[in-house]
Amino acid sequence: MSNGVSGVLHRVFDAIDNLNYRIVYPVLAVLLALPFIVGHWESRPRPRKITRGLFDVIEECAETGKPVLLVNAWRMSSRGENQPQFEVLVDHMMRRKVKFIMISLEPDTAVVGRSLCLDIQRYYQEEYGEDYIQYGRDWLDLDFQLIYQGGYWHIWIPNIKADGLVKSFNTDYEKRPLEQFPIMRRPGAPPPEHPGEPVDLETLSAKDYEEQFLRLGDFGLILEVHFTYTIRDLIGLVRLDKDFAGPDGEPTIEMGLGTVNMVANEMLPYFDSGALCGVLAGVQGAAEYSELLRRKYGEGPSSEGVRLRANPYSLGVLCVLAVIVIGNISTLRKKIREWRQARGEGE
Amino acid sequence: MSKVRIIRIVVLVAGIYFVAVFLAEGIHAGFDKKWIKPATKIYTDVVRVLGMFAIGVGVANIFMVHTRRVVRLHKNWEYSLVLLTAFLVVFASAVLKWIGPSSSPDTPVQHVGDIFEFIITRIQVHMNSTIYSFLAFFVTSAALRAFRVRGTESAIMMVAAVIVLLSNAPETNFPVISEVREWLDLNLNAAVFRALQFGMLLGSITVSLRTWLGIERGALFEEV
Repeated sequence: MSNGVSGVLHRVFDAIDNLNYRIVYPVLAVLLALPFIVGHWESRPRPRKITRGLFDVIEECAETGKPVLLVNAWRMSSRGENQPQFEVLVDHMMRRKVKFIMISLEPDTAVVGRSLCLDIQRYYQEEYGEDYIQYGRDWLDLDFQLIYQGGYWHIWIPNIKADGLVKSFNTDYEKRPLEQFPIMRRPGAPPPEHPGEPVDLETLSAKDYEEQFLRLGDFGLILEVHFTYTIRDLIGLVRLDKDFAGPDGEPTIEMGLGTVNMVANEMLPYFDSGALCGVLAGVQGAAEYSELLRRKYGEGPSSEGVRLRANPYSLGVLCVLAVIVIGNISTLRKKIREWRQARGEGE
Repeated sequence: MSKVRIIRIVVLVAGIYFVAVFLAEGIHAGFDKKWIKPATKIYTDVVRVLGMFAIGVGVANIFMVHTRRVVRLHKNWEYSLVLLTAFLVVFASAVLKWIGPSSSPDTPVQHVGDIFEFIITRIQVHMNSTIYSFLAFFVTSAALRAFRVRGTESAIMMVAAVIVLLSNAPETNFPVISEVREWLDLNLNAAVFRALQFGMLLGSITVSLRTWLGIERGALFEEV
């Protein structure tokens, strides 16, 4: 009996020794496809501090009415990780009616990001009525900005500060003048003299322009969804600029990041020091954020998208874990064999 | 005046602008308003124009190189033809979108089913995602071949990796695992990355200062 079991084990271990990509690749492919074949399942990850931090700041923005500047800079190559992050963040902002202005640093993401925002907007309009969320009043798309590609915030932040947002960007993605959108007016600014009519910026004094239209310092959060990050340049610019400082000298703008899992580690020192309020790390970060949303507000339009990516991702991770264990069993066997041979015991 | 001297002067002046932007508000608000803000406008306009020139040069270069390959039927000229065709189609569709009619603020926002958006959403998205998804296979293959315990250090790394991997999959993200991972992230990992970044940024400051002051040697600062 024991010989039989031992023989089977030997054969299994021999098979493990000979395991190569010809077996691993098809197994991985099947695992990744499994959720699409058998259907998605619920996953309930435990939200980490780095995820909760971002969630709490968006909740604060909902309370204070401060808008969010959403820097949309992921790429289609990192879509698997960044898109669910983008979806949960936009879902949260639209659900809580947090105003946000989106600027895209990649041409393809500008199109896809806008499409996702419109889908989520449509969901809430169907759910709660047309007036619940409105383009131009609750969110705005500044489209792809070629010159901002790659970040270089040290060049552009002084420019946006000097010119203001309206004059820096001029139009939205359909080339409509920004000054006509209610979201571009500062919170608490007097209503336009002639509502519904175009505002002539040329005749407006510099003082009136500054008082009436949104400034960078009015934002409550700068949020970047990026395949790596450019926000590190912004941290110093915002934290050292007195235009962004509150009465206590601390910056009034928080900063958050959604990035791929591999890169998120590099930004942990900034979260640890308080410079970043939160970091969404890969699909896991999106799944944790989705879980926070579910706990507080129930399922939403982003939930399915997160599950769609989280399930195959989990199986992929577990497959990697399995091959690490298998590879080490093989190494351990080899070492034991060598050790025995060295002691003259033979096989 | 030699070319190198001109480059050094431009770099020095551009650097002075950034120092002035940084210090202006602290020195005098009027100085900031009177000098820095107008200078910012000029500076960013110059950067915009230079940036566009750089893109233009890049595009012209690609076009020239690949047109030559197609015309002279060099080896693999078919790929160049595909590149040029794709380039022209995307460029034309983007220009069409750009010069197309703009809508009024009252127009309800709809999906614009134009060619540019079709190319992005139906072609580029899927091609890019497909290429990136190969990474899953490469990572798994590398994990099988390379991630072996060969000593104490690799054993420690292995334990940390297993914890991180387990916590990354929601199905195995048990509270204990997740808490240990969070501790690893915010204590050990953050400390290591902070140290690394201090080193890198100190090096970066040194190189920047050397470049700004014209001390740096290299292709940019030597006469050809």
